[in-house]
Amino acid sequence: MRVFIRNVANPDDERVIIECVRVTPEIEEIRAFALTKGEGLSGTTDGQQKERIALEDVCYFEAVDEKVFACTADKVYEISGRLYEVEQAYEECGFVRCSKSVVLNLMKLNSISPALNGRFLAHMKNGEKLMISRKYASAVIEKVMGEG
Amino acid sequence: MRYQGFWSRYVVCFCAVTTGICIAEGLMGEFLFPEITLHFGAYLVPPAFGLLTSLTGLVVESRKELSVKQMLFRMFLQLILIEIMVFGINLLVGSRYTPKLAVAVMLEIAVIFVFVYFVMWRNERRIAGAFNKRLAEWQKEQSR
Repeated sequence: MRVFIRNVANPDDERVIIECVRVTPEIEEIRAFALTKGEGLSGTTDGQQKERIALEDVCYFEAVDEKVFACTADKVYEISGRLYEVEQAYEECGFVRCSKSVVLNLMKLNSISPALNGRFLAHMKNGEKLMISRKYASAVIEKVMGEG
Repeated sequence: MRYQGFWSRYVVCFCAVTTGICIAEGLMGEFLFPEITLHFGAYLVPPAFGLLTSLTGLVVESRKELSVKQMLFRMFLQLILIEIMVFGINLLVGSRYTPKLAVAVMLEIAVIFVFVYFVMWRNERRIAGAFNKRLAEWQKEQSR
């Protein structure tokens, strides 16, 4: 595959264009990497095997006992850093805090439904259900619906 | 769309309680005390109780994230608190209840309590519906 790099003056004009015959898993991988701007997200599984995680595969990040875990549809990785750092780092990639201990990926969200007393239940595309607490419900709703 | 969770819930609660009290008092008065006429001050009773009842919503507030069981327990406590408040105020102003009337008032309070939570749940369901409708479009926009 040929690779071209062309300099641009404005950072807003930076982009990656992939020209391919068909979208293969490898192309999807390149796309995921480009979408996350190559930000290194790696984590360890139970077997202490360090693996690279595509940000768009992450359904949510969860903090448990000072540790932060990245949960994909089928795996859970322990990652370094604090939950608020994850929240800030990936805010632009569709991640939003939904409770004290969870930052969810809005791209992996299927729908929400009202729960008890101002809280909402987030139904993820992989079937998991997460609680959106009252404190963070407005942030989640405004991220999608806008301020207007 | 701006979702103002905290204060809007109290406003919705106040309006729903006031409406609920007006309807319940009207029906109870019509069936149990049709001979009694009220003075204009009676108009102020439902909003006054509406305000006091809305304030009992503080019972379900917490800095911690409550589980469903904890929330249900606090809602039960809130109902008990409202019952005590209503009977306490009425006793203080000299109202006396027959056992039959006391049961009727207790039930009335419980029905209004459920009605208010139902109204708030409906409001949140409307918000969730609008959110879900927009979510699919938002996800398409983001993946472009």
